[in-house]
Amino acid sequence: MSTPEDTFREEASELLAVLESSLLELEDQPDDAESVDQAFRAMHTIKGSGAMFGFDKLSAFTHHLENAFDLVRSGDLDVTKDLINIALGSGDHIRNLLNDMDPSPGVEAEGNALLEQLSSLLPGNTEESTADNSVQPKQKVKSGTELDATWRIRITPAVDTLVNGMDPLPVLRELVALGPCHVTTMDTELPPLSKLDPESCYLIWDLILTRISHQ
Amino acid sequence: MTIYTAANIRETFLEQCHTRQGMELNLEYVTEMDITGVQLLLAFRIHLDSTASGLQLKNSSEAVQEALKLTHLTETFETDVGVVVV
Repeated sequence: MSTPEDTFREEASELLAVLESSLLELEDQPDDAESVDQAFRAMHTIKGSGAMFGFDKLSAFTHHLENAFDLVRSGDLDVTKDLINIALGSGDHIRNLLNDMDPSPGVEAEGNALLEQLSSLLPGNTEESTADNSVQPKQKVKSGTELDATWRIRITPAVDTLVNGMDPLPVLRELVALGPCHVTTMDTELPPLSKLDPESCYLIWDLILTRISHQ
Repeated sequence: MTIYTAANIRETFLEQCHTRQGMELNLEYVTEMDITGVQLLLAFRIHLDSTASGLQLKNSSEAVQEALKLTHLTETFETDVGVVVV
């Protein structure tokens, strides 16, 4: 049985692998803009989905890393050996936070140490103090660096989703709460009533969601 | 109308399926609705539409209204079907 948290864990693990391979790429070619973008996108998605699934500490931590790579993208921070090492260490830390939403004081101290090292690399006047590891207000954590972002989301639940105790309605409720959202329910897979297994899930959803971030 | 009652509700709907008249469903006392409930309403509606009798929801409770709103199906169920103007 897979819960939404498990699904996020799976996706985040894949994104962490992408992050790590782009960091290793950067080790050889520090100026490779494509690898920087790839690393940034992986962090951005881990942060955003993490907040959505209640991984607040993971999301807050990743936010700082993402900020640093946003500076790299804008040319305000160079890719150095130190930055790559801290980012790789951060990847490991994010993996720890993924396995344990409530990390032990030891793990938390590791995270703070990484953020302090990261902070020392940043030019002055960054958006906020990176040494502050307190959980940010949700709105802040969720806001991306882009001003508005429009997402097209397709939800195709497994047929046994409902039997496994997972109802798509609360997921829709969460998503709709994030911003202007257009939901389309598709019943193309819905069998006739006489052939329908009432405990199977046949519906598919398409969502167009616009996130307006509050600067 | 949740997964715990879905099988019974489907049976009840099936029993009514032979009707050739329009069907009104009073949903006043529905305290909970999950996706199984939404699916059953859709399937019931599709069936009744195919027999040209149509389904109308009456007194939808808050739970029903919210579920239909989230799935953007409120208008689908409001559309009058089976009304023949002579």
